[in-house]
Amino acid sequence: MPRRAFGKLWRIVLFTARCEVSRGDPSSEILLEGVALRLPGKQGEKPKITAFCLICPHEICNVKWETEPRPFPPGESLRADSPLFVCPCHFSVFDPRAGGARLKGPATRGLYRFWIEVGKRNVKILAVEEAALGS
Amino acid sequence: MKKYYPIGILGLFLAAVLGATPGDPARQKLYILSSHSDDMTVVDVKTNEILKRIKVGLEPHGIAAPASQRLLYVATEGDRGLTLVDTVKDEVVKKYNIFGERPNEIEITSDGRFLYLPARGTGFYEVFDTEQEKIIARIPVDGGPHNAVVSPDDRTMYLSPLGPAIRDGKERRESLNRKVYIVDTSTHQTVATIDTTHPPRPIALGRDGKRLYVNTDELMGFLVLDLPNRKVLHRVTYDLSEEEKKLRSRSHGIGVTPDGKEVWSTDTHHSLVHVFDVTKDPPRQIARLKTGEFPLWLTFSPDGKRCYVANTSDDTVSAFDVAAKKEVARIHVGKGKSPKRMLVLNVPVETP
Repeated sequence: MPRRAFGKLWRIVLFTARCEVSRGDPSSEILLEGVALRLPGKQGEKPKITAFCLICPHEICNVKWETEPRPFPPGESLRADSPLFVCPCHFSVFDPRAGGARLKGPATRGLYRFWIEVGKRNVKILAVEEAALGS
Repeated sequence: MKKYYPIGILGLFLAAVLGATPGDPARQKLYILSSHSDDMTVVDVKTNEILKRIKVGLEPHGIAAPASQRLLYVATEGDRGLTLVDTVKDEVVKKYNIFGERPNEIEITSDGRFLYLPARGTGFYEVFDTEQEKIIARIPVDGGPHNAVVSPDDRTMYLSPLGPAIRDGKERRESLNRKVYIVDTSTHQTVATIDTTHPPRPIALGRDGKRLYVNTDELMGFLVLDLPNRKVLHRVTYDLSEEEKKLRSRSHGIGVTPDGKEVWSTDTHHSLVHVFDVTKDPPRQIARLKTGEFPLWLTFSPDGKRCYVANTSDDTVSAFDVAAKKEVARIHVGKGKSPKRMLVLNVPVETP
């Protein structure tokens, strides 16, 4: 992905990654949909680019990027003051600023993460957490 | 001048049992539950225009109507509720809050008497007697109570609980349910189970009541269950290219056309509905139809002309012409609504 696509904070870049489950065996490929974005750094830190798998760890629905502040799910006390990932199936909520950590809902962990390499011109996806590949 | 008398709850119950008078004019209406909200959208099937939104309660998750179609029930997961709606006036008549945690996909006998409510947070299907307005039985199951369908003769209820049970508010995945339950509705007791290998998801009954079509986890397709012999007859898979198979997806949403000849089943991550001819043995795929994003449930109009598919991720519903196998309308339910369960009813038109 071109690095210039990440010029603006919070702007998401969607991609599909080809993951080889067994090295050298293309028939073992799995496609994973992901999202990369540049996030503001914590106090004193520079912004950095990070990439998550869009599959919800609960039941592999695709999470949605929610930018409007409202309670998740309806009637609950959690309110978003910055964009979050929300699963439309069972309303697990994930915070990109906390490494995709789960904030609420039936998922038992945060979003699966990709390892990336940020070069001068490009951002490359290198690998993904093994758990994202399923059983 | 005509006089009007309030009919009340008993009147509605009698209407449910007696049904419409033959020859009453009727309008087809599509009821769409907004799972990530507190309302139900009512759509005119003829024009695909939204007629009304009805506030039914937090996180509406299940919908069912008796054969009369003059009323329907909505289970609201977020507030442990069951809402009774008059479909002629499209108004809430009553709300019950007596159920266990997280009411899910309800089903009701065609006479309107017994409503099966899966209380997902408790491990029981609760049987609600709509005449007495109380829970008269609780059916224990493994896993998380979730889906139910009733046989055409009302004698049997088929239950498909989710894999993991919920205890103390958390999913327990140590042991998963992998079977469909068969319940006698005269006793509300389980009489048999059928092993599905993987946790069952949405289910749909063939029109003659002899076959059950079951989506399951880990299967891009569905199982065909032989109900009289209580066994799996076929394991049917979608026609996907090798490239398409690389994308992890789910089959979650299945229905049988009113004439009993076709099964339509969703494919979430490919945004497809796969159509099968089930007059053949084994069923044969005859079409793949593109939907909106992440199709999660589907339903047919009673006349068999339309199939509605809820595209949960883009907040729309696709309307398909069943015979032509073609999308004819896309209904925008509202941003963030996450449409899921739906029902099409032939509702008598109120004449002044």
